[in-house]
Amino acid sequence: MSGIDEAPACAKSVREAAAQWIARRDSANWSEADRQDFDAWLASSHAHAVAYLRAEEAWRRSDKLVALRGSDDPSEGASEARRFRPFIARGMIAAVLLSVLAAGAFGYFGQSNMKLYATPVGGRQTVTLADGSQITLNTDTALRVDLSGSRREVYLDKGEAYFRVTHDAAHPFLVMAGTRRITDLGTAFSVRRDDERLEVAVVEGKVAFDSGTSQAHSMALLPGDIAVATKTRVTVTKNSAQAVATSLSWRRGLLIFDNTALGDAAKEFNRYSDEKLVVADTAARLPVVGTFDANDSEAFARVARQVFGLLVKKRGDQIVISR
Amino acid sequence: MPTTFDTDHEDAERRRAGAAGAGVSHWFVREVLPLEAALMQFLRRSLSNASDADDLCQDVYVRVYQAALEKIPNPAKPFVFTVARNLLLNRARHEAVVSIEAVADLEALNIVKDEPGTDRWVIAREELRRLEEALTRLTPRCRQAFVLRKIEGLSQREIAQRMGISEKTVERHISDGICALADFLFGEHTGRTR
Repeated sequence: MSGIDEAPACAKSVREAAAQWIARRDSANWSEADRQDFDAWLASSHAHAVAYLRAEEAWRRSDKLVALRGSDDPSEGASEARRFRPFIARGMIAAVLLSVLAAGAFGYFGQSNMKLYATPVGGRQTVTLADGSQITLNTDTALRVDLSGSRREVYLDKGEAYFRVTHDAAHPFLVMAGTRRITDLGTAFSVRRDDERLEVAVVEGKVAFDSGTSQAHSMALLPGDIAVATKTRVTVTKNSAQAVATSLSWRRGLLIFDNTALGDAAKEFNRYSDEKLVVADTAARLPVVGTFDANDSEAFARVARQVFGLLVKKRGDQIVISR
Repeated sequence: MPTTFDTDHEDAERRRAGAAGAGVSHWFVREVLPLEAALMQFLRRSLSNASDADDLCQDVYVRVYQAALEKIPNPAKPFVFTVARNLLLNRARHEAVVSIEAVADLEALNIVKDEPGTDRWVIAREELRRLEEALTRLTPRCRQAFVLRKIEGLSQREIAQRMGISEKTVERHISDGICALADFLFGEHTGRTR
């Protein structure tokens, strides 16, 4: 067959053939001869290639069905639909538990009118404050809110949060992160705290940023500005609205990479899971482009394997990616 | 001791991943397959015989994939729909079976705009629900084999023993299951595999 495909006569037969190859490969009877035949089939036509990619992706995605594994015999089939409900219910219970925890902590901070909000690793939560302002907490985040004084104060103890502030000139809205201070001047912005590093991204309006370093004083940040403060210096970059939106895609549970080094991308994933990705050696520098579910580091590992041909090994609660 | 995922397939995967085609494959799976539901809807609406939509969809894929091997079109969506439109127009010239209005109306359908995120598979829970629904569309024996394989994690040989059927038959059930799941997951075909 020539390398140039003509219109395939029948999608059904090509797609069935692709599915048959995958099913055969999954069986105990897959031989070296089969493998050679399959490779030849795959290489002989682009119609075969696209049908294979499509079937293979369906096969891979169906791995997620394992989440339906329940106590009753699933081979009965008909009960699958019902078993999924408890799966959702467990998620809701977790959310409720979390609010109870927050309420408990509120008791502890009750004296100072502080409210504590926190998310676990992999969690995300949006809260609406009494003044109408909204805060979305990303994974592994803890913050305290005090609306009782003349200033509305939020202490970001760790993690990342997105703020949409209801303007009230009489009661300025402040976000404290360690020694740094962000004063809202009517706006939407995000703050991310990783140990010594602090990142502030402005979506709308204007904020005043006091980096807390000795030489710097308060600076104004406008939409598109992303300020990164380390122990010793502050860097402000001007970005497109699109770029800022991308950096905030976590609010939709997404991680978007655009030529991000594989090692850095892995670090991002690791914020969302107790199972950690480790990228060994020079593989860490490979550029990644793509949109991922933040809670699906396995999909990321698969991409590393398929796109870059890297080795992916599981060691305890680590997924090690190497050349 | 470290364990390796998919030990059997890994070598083959890596061999295939070596070529430039690997980037295209990944792009195709990530950017093009999620458009299938919208594409199928567009094709069905534009064709007098909606059952031709599968063939045309596959044809669109082949051309898009071929083009991507030269240069990956970015964004994917307008390109995919332009290819679809051209194929429809071509067909219209030969067979006069395409509703030209529907084709001309492509922009009005508002499907050529690239809206990141809207068509991507992002929510694991929603996906699980869809997979679950797809399962219910399989024939009972096919579903049982698929469930034993993917949920219970039995091998095809173990499934054959459990169900009292031959390994060849299990393989056929699995293969039928893959076809039906792919149609449902990507194309949202309804009432087809029952």
